[in-house]
Amino acid sequence: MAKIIVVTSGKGGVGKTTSSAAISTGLALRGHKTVVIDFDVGLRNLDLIMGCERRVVYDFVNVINKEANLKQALIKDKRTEGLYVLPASQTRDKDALTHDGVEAVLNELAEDFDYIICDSPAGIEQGAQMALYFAEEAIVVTNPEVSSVRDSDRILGILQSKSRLAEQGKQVKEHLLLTRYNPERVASAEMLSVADVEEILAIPLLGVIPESEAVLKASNQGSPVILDENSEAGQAYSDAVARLVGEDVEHRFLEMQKKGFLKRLLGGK
Amino acid sequence: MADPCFHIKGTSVTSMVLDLYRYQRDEFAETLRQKIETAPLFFTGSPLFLNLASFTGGMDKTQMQSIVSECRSAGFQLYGFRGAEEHVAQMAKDAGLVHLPTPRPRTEQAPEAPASEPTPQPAANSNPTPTKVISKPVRSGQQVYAEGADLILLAPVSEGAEVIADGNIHVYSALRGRALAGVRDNSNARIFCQKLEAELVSIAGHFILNDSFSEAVWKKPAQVFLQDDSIEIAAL
Repeated sequence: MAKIIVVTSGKGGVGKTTSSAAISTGLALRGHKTVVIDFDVGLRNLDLIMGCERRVVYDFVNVINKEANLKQALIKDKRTEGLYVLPASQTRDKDALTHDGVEAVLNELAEDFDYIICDSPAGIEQGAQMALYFAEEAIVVTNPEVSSVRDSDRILGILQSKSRLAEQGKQVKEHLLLTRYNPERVASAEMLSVADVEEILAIPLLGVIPESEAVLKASNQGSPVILDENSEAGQAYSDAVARLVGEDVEHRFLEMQKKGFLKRLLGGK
Repeated sequence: MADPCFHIKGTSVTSMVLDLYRYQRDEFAETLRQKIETAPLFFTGSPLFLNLASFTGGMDKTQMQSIVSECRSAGFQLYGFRGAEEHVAQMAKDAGLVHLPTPRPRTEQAPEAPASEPTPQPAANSNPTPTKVISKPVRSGQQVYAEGADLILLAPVSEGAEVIADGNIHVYSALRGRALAGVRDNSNARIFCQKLEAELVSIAGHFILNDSFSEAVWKKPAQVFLQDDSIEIAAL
């Protein structure tokens, strides 16, 4: 039986899709058969980040409408064994996601996969609520700034009131993933610190992803940043995935680093 | 053991009571309208009974019927009465109201008195409603209301969240959202918190925003109470 995890945030542009791609890739690298679903119908991005945009023939909405079966729509990742992408449709809107349709697709995927990662659209409307409704765990992606923290707080409220588990009186397991973290800017009080965000949101910290050019580069190349093992962001995502599957890994990249010239030349460690 | 299809048990239900002192149609309608304007959401749909123990003056059948219809059209669920003299009681029964037993020993004070009366004791109910306890964070956009009771929160109240109680509010964590205590005109209600970072605090309809909090209590354990119709905040 697969574990369904939603990657959500409320606010847009904080790194949901980047994180969905990295985490699903990380899980597959660890040998867990994983599918990542793009719930952002109408604005599909995940296939770009995953570098499979040219291979999209059928999509999530086609499967829901029974115009294609799952086998036809699932795209097998060429780099990572055991990783599949279910892309969003670009020509429909979020109303195309019906409750029963999504549930049927998830049930069918659950038979085959270990992890189902749901990449939520921004906002708190139907599309985002559909992405989180069936989740057992939630990764709340937050940037260290007040508006992102406020929106994450809002989405946490929705998780605990409008998800299927909440309706059954149970609790969705919450994880905080702090992205675009820049210790230098925290030190100069331009950004909230990890401690500030943890105190406000009061949920366990899954990982802190440092602000990194490697993320932008990876997105443009269509290769999840976790595959860039030399980058701090890639390593931070690997740590986060390890914690997600229950390993106890110490947090890194939280402090300002004074790197020497040689160390920079040899790549960040 | 047989498996019964029902059980009959005793229970207590929170209700509002309207203490009627005198009745004159226009005055009653106007006072009722003003009262509801103060907090429309709290009154709409509220169960209500009529307390006629302090009623003076005469009443006829039409007047009783118009009381019932005015309360109901104002949004209350008027269901019963108590403390009436026999002939008034008969009229109330004819108007479809249930005759509630009068509580024996104590002379009950009115929780909802007209504006001219001094504010009565809050805990006139012989069966107090159990305190509402919330152990999860109250998030931005969420609202918690403890009807006829105190509210205890064991986790933070986020900015953009709202906690409301007819009684006191205790926050054993940070209070960052809005807290409204004693919303049904209970000026004795207080707000207590471990860390005061609220956007707004209110007691019995009086409120202040955080720009008027003093530095001495900000982010500190504090209590909020009403003194001479003005909100006071003191460190704990």
